[in-house]
Amino acid sequence: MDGRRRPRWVELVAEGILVGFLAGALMALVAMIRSAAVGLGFWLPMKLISGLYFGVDTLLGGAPAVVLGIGTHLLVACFWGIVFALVTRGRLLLPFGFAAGLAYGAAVWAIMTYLVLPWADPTMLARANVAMNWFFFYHLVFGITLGLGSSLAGRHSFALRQAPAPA
Amino acid sequence: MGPVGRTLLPVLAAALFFGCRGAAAGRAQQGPDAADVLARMHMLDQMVISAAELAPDRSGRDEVLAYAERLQRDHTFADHQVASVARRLGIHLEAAVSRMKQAMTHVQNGPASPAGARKGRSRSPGRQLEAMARLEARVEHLKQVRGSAFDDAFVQTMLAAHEMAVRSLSAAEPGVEAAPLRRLLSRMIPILEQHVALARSLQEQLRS
Repeated sequence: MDGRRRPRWVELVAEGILVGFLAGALMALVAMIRSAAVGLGFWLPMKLISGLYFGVDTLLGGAPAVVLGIGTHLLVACFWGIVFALVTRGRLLLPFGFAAGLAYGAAVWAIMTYLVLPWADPTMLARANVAMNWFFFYHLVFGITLGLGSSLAGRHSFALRQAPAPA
Repeated sequence: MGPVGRTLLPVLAAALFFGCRGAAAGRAQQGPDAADVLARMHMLDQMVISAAELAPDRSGRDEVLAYAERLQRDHTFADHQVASVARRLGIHLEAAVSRMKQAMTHVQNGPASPAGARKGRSRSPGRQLEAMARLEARVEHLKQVRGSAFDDAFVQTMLAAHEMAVRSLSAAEPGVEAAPLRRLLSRMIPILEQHVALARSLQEQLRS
């Protein structure tokens, strides 16, 4: 017995939301920087996510398409963050966090590419197919950040749980 | 001419005749020339980019401007990919384009694809060249109009150009033997289809 209390599911969900949000934000930033660098436009990745609602017209969308895209992306990132936290139960040590995150990112990529996007957002899938290696890389960035973030968050919350209650 | 010569001559003539026919049939069965396909893609990219560049000065509608910007970005990106595939395949793109332009001039000045028709090839390359020549003329026309006239002409021209590109590249794709070019086509045709869908949707907005 290490005296470590099992984290409650509410804590895991909160941790998943926080780390998923950060990992999703970093993934989006990497995707947008690359899109701008190749001349396709900084906001294109976020507009493409809005293809879920607007179809191909999202390509001509302005701020609403971008905002909706960011919101949807972060929501989905939080969902995957919660799933990751619930599966790993906040017990990942740093090196395992990296490896688990890498594998999880690849799994999320496979699920999104082959199961979700074909019916949810074909506009985005067509664009992802143009540079699928980059699309895969963005998901690895998401997974690694999630894995490392969960390890650090788990360690932090463990330390908090071990700390003596304030007098 | 001796008896051996009299026997050999018809055999030689027959061999030459059937050999040439076989070679011609082989050419007809061969897939589309990678240089031609790349030249067509490059010319389309350049034509669309030059048309889209006109929009900021000539259109007042946000949707048309957004479409022009999207086209410009996508076709600039696509053109880099075309150049990269051409380099990988050892194809001199500018030479292929100038051959294509010469053929276009020939088609504009004479009957549709006379050489192709004589050799028993499909007439469609000639028609495609004619269509491309017509599109270039329509892009030239865009330089003379402004406002709603520009918007209508621009969207119609882009719709026609992209529909033609989707048709001709989709027809070429199965016969392309070079793997990098086949990959490029399979990635780019869906993007061109998106441009077609956007043009149709814009056309409806402009009508209403």
